[in-house]
Amino acid sequence: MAREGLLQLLVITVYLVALLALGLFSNRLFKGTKQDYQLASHSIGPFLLLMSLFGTTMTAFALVGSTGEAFREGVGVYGLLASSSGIVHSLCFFVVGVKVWTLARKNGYTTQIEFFRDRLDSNFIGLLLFPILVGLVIPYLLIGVISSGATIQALTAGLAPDWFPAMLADGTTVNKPLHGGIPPWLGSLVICSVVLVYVFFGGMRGTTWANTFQTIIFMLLGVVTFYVIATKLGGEDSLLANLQKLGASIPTEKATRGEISKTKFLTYLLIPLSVGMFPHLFQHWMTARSANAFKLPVIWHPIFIMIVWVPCILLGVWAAGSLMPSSPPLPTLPNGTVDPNKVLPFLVNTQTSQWLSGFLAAGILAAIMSSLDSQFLCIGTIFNNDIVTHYFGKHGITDRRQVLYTRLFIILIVAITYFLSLGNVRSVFALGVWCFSGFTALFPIVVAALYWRGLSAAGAISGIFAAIISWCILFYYGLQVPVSEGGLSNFLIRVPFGNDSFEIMPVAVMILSSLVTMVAVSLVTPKPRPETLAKFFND
Amino acid sequence: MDGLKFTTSLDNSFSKSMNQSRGKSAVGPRIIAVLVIVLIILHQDYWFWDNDTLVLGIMPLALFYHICISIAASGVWVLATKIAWPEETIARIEHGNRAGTAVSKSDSVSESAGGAD
Repeated sequence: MAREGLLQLLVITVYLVALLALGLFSNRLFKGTKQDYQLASHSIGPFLLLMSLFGTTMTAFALVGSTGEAFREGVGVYGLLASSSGIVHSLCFFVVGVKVWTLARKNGYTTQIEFFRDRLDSNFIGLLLFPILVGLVIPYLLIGVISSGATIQALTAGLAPDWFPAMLADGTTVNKPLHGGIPPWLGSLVICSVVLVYVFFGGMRGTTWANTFQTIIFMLLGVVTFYVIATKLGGEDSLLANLQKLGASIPTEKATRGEISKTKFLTYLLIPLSVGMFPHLFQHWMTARSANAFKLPVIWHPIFIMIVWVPCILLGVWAAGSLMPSSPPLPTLPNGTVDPNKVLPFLVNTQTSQWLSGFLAAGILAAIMSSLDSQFLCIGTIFNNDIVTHYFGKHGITDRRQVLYTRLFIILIVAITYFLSLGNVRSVFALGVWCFSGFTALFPIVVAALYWRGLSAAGAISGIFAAIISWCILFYYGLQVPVSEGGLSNFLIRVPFGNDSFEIMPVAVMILSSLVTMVAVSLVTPKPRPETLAKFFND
Repeated sequence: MDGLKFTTSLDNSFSKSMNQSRGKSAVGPRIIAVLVIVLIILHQDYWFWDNDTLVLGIMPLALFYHICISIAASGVWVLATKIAWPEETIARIEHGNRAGTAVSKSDSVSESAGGAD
């Protein structure tokens, strides 16, 4: 028997080396132009587009978070986050993605800001959106960087207790589930470095290939892990018998949605609209060889979500059931409750082999890195195109120099994100839903820009201000919720109605604020020039 | 009045951009719009909220139902690619690109500067 954590480390290392090789190989196809670096020369076909879009939208939350949330709140989490995304994400690809692709190919855009600036004849909207988009992407990046460090530590526990001791808050008791594992600062540093290398050298082509490879990895490993754990926990001869035995063990409260309010469930449907405003998805859309390449992602995205989420949800509710061994106990938080984010790694560590544990670590890292790479590349691109080239490139900046600027800004953002990740972990996780909410609040602006010729620059700018001001106010109120009551992540607005009150997600107020403001101001302010509108509307 | 104008122009713009193939009507996008609304309504399955039935003894009904929603969503998107895909817009853009009319905004700057150094 190999030393605890050693095989896991070996598998993770081999996986990361394979990724680096893929990134460096894709660099051999690099044509040296800005368009090739940022958009893979619009060469991505349907399959690669499907895999890269799916990989980019699925983060660590799809594997680790879904299992943990199902453990906490039951099977309703699938409807809350997965089936809703199956409807809304594809809707965004269809209604926003295809349309944006056609306009961007016609008018030559790479970034969202280029599109909005041109559509609304306004430089100011670019200056306004740049800090907002970067500010909303950074918390998203932080979730990935922090999750990667935590995952590596949990799954390599026992490797080197003398070098990497992990103690509980009292400073004397060993924190067994983490003791001896690679510390988060080191794990996150390695992951940031690997992503930086393949994005730096491979650009969008390397990112798309790596995303495809990683998406295949995490989908396959999710299914294999599910099969192995079902067999071990069920203890019967056939998969069907195991599934039936485990199904019967699910507690009633986890098989229903008693712990989720109906109005929260309804307003949660708005969160997936955020993909319509993700700047990194916008850039991925631009890589498509043709608009018809979108057909495959539009059709298969809901099914892919199902393939990844259903096994994770079932594992979560089984872990809450009567067939879950009581020894060793599930990892807990300092307040004594089970740590939901540790449920999946714990199941894998205790119910499968060290090899599979290593492979699952690779799968989780794959899900994380397939989002990180696109986000890093996107921020580098918008910095180069929307700030450097737009404001300082009047006399021409060569392609090679623009690629250099994009790369330098990527290094800067990776460094900033890494150092921020060394701060407070728990508050950053809560920022996840808030950063999605911010993007959702901006969603009416992109839809109106595409389909409403009456949208004025003043209307769009006012809508953006309304979105951000409402976000800030609600965030402030969210910060007032004590940690013992769930803190920022559990903040809901209670709307009184008769003798009752209904819980709604803050995002509902944000999107309503931006929508109403945008429409009202647009109706009373001057429209863009007819020649501008002619570039976007054919009728 | 202004509100009505806003809705109508949005509707026209959406329909035209989603389906501009000659010979095809705007019925396709409207069917898809209705089906998406139906999916969203079906997604709010308050009628199964407290039902703990196990389907085939394997999984809770709430999960099975939402798996069906995922499959149905995929089915709606298959239909969307058949009856509501903006073929003509796409063909026009792709034809324009082949003819070299679309040039990246900043590419044009680079080209005027003499390309890569």
